[in-house]
Amino acid sequence: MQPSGQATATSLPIGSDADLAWVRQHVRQCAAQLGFGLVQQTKLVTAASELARNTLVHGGGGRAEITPLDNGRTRGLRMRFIDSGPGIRDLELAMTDGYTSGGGLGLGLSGARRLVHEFGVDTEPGRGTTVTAVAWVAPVPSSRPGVG
Amino acid sequence: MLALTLLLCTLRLVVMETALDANAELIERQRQQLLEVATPVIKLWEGTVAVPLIGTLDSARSQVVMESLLEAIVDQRARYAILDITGVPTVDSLVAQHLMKTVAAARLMGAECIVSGIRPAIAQTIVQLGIDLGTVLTRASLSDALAYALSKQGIEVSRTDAGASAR
Repeated sequence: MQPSGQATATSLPIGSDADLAWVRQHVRQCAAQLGFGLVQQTKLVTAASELARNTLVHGGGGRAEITPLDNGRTRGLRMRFIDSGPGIRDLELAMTDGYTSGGGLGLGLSGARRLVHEFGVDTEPGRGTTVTAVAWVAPVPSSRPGVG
Repeated sequence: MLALTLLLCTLRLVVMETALDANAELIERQRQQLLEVATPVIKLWEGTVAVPLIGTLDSARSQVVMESLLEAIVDQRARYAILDITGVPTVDSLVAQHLMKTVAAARLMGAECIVSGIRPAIAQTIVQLGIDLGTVLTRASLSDALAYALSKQGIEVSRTDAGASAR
């Protein structure tokens, strides 16, 4: 998953609501530059907004890493949200639609997963959480059977 | 000599900090002003008010929107309130939740709320995100929402002969 010749990652802090707006703007800009369509751009920005807010609300702040990707056939965008907060104790429960520990709708993690092509959560109680989401410009048809 | 340099440096630091504080205060004040300016409630028709939402809808802003909308509903004795989100670039679950709360509050005040201006890309994103806006009345555009509100009040808009020939 580390294609050669990729552009450099941008690291943005997540510490306030204003930072969330900045992350959204940056993701929108990157996605537009990479050639994502309007619908894909909106999905990416929305996913970034959900995940960055998780980082802020549940992780107590952290940072976002936005990296343009190129696997030779198509281009993509990787978003990584890193915090060193309390971590997620029950990941399966946290990924369930409608489950919330923060008073929201409980669609942040599960919804964001549906908006991107690849999705991964690396968490350990007490050590923090890293959420990685990747989307490709042209959707890879066979990469995600049974997801949805 | 050293003491003098130290004194001057300290003085310079104090001046800089004061300037920075003043700047931060100015930014905060402008932010507050923007909050108020950016949420006008417009009377579209007798009994119909609209709020054109523009920009990011965070918790602070949606609180202001809700307050001014509810006030306008009372003042104008509005039966229909239109929330137009054409100018909102991103609708994530928090924004959707704010919208639903505003709609619910307006309903408690006896006004029916219509959310308009949901763009195709945002509609697709909302569905995939899994947000259920089934309880919220929506229309594609502000004019559709106004047409709905008018027809519900028994008001019919038609083109007169004079207007038709002028075109």
